[in-house]
Amino acid sequence: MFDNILLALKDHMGAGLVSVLFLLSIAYLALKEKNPGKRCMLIYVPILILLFFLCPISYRVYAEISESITYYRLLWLIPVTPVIAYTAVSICTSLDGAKQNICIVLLAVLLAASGRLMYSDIYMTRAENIYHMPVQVVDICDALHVEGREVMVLMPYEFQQFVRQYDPCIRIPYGREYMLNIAMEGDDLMDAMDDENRDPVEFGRLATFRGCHYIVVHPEDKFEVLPENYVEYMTIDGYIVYKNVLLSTEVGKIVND
Amino acid sequence: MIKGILVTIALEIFFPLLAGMVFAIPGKGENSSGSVFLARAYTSGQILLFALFQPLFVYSILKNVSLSKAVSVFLPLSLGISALLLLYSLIRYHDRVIKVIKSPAKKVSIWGIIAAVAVCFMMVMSFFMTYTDGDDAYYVAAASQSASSDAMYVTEPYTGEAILSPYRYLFAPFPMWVAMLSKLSGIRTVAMAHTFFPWSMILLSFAVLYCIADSLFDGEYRKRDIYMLFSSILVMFGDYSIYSPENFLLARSRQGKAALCSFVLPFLFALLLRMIRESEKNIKPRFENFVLIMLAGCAGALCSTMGGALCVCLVCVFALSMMVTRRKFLMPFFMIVSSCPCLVFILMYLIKR
Repeated sequence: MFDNILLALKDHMGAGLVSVLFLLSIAYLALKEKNPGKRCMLIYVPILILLFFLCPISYRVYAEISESITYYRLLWLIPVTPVIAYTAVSICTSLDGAKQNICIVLLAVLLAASGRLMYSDIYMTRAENIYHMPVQVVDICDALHVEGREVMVLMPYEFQQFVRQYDPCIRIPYGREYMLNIAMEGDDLMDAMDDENRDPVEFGRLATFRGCHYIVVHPEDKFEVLPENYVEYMTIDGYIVYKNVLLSTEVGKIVND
Repeated sequence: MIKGILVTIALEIFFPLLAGMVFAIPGKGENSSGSVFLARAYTSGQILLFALFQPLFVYSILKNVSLSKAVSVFLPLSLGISALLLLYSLIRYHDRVIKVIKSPAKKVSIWGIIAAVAVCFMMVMSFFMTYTDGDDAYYVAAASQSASSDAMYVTEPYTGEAILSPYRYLFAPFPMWVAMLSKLSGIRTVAMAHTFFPWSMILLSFAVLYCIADSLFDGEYRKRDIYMLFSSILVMFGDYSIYSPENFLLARSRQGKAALCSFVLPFLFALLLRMIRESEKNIKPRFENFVLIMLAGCAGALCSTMGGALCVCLVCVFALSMMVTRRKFLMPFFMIVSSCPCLVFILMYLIKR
């Protein structure tokens, strides 16, 4: 159990020197800070929270009520930014004149170097549109949207998480739990989609059985032989859309005549 | 679109600002500048609105009330309460309000200007940069689904199938706040969540940090400005871990967890700091501050299922430390008592799950 606690602590500390700076700040304030109120908020409260976090009983209670994987959230109670910033101000303002300004600049550089710029994160990218969604998702959803009813669309993996954020009238046959392998049971359609040697007849039947009005695939995954009950319908931004010939997308109709 | 943006600004800035004015009135004999007054009013007002939203929407979801009906109750209720509180503060404390308005504008150093530019930069970047996070597939989709179908937590956000067990999330219905903003402004939910909402969380977060700076430095403007500069750098370079509050604020601000770690918990910290600083100056503990502790707990519960418990935890740790180090018992006791009402949501979750 203690290993899990330390792992949560390590994950929260992450890369960089911020945690080291925080501990150094606490030590500095413990020596220099005289105001009892500030000592209470900036030294005693963080230390008590840290002890509380490291206590296996807290972990057990937290895991019982919520999920142990979110135990790191207890560390959000520690005011890391206020403690480091306050210490840095205390250090700077103990100097006078030009020395103070130089110290401010140096500490600013140190603080920046101790972390990592948010905008350099690999998952942080320039937004393609006002929705902050991939443009292909917007185009495909707009093309397949039917006013007044829901349609079921089997989407490529890379779009699964965006589709229902953009258009909740589009349903998808399996959700994120399956992709993350945290679902209780497997999903036959997902397994069939993953299968390199998929049988188009069987796959088409399965997709029809699950009520998929459309199948959208990446150009590299194009079907050599059309899945049963599906025809090639259109190509959007390079992605190929297959339409089911049995299932109707008209309002109030389930199957085609 | 322009109308939608104006409505969003009204809902995200002016509404909380007016709603929270009563909590920002300086205590008797306390000096407060206009900027601190605004920051306190803005953050306290948002906490008040979150806290009013939480019980009403949990009840509405449990009773299968539609989103528009819940909004049509929430809006006049919150407007009415805000108007009453505003009226009360203007009548009861008009002399103090006038004193704040007439107080000379505090100086701003070059460091303060740099910090303000950094905050504006982060707000602008929230429009143009996007962060891909899988959890949005639940939270943003839940908001989109509710705004589109007018039903809350009826279908599984991941797929659109009928929901099997909504209890994991329904006691923290933060996505419904985003859905409400979308409904009132007419801006599509996905655009509201990713583009038109994050800037307000960044502004709220820095308003809280400004309040903390004021309590720490007692109006010493130069120190406060340097503090804000260092804070803005720590936030902007806070990508040292995917679990850091700074990462949540700049990358995933549309999620309740981000609101919890970068706004509600720091707000509670700022409030406790303010209370301890007031007690040092022998200012009598004010009833409004205990109300704010209670409201912050409820706002925390809105953001995350464990949010309320985390708020109570922070108050208890603070109270314990105050009892041990300062030999004060009555004030910490009342703090703990006033933080507890939010636990009702966790109890309901434990019973229902």
